[in-house]
Amino acid sequence: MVAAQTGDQQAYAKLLAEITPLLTHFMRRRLPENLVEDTVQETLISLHKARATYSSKSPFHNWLFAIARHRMVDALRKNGRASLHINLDEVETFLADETNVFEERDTSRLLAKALKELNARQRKVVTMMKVEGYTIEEVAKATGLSPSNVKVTAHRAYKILREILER
Amino acid sequence: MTLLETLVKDLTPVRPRRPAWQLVLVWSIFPILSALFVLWFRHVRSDVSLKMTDMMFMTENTLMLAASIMAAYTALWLSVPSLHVPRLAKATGVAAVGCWAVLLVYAGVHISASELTHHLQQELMDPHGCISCIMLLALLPSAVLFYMCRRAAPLRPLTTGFFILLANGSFLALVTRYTCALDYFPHLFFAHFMPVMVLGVLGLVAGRFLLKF
Repeated sequence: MVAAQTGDQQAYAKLLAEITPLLTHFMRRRLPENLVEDTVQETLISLHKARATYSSKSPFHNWLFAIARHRMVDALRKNGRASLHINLDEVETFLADETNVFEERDTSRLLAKALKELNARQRKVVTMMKVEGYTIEEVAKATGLSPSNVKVTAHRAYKILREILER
Repeated sequence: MTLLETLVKDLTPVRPRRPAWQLVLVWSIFPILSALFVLWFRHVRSDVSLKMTDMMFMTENTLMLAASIMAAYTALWLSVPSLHVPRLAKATGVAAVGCWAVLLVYAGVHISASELTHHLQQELMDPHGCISCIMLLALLPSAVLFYMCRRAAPLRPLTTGFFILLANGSFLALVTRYTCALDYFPHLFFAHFMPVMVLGVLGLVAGRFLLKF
């Protein structure tokens, strides 16, 4: 997102491609199916308009899902439904469950299965770094590990994943 | 072209929004300008040097100034999307409202029930111009703060609007204490403090229409 703020179109394209299925999954569990696609699009447009307000000091998902929640509430209100309550814990639980992230990818099932072979710490580090795009420092801060410990954990996790995927 | 392609094509560099405390400093120029106008137009009260030694007077003013700054900070913070509102932003919002609760109770307890209706009717006519001064001169700095918040992504428009008008109303209420020599509590309550509460309520309405994201 920070790269997108500088006008990096490649980074922005990658970011949008990554978050679209994530948002779709999240909304599918909380909205009627007929509202999901439009609400995802409205969220992406809102994200585009509000991109100057993102600060790297705060986790990206905190910012993204605030916009998503706003659009979901709007969609429900327009359809005469009661409002929605989504908090940060719920979002973090959703993101931590890697099956939500991988479900629509081509190698999703295999990768999700491979991730289950990792221990909890390795799984969290890999998910945060490779799926959610956090830097080593951000992962260290969130997990309470030192940055060098994050690197070692990630390295060991990738080694295990490679062995599993090559079987 | 898909939506994603359109958004990527439309991407231009943007300057990341400054932290709320820096924006408070930028905004503060405008209520200060309004304040200078009030001081020039209405003149500073003749007993100001004496009043500056009055602890209650200075405490009231400190509360109003604190409420103004904290309300502005809260409004600017709330105009940035976030699922989780940090403790500081929550605390400043609560503290701003708390300052006004203290001021209203402080002035309100000194008004007897028998005086209430008489003073309310009298003060609503605004014979001293305090209500008009606070409400009209809060408009310019409020417009600026609405603009600053609107440029972000205010996902809580009513609350943001409330704090915007509370911030500016508080500051102008503070300034009018230096131009109005009437210190009796019914006047303070109805002509200095209540207009700020009315502005806060108007802020909820204005936020709903002006801060739609």
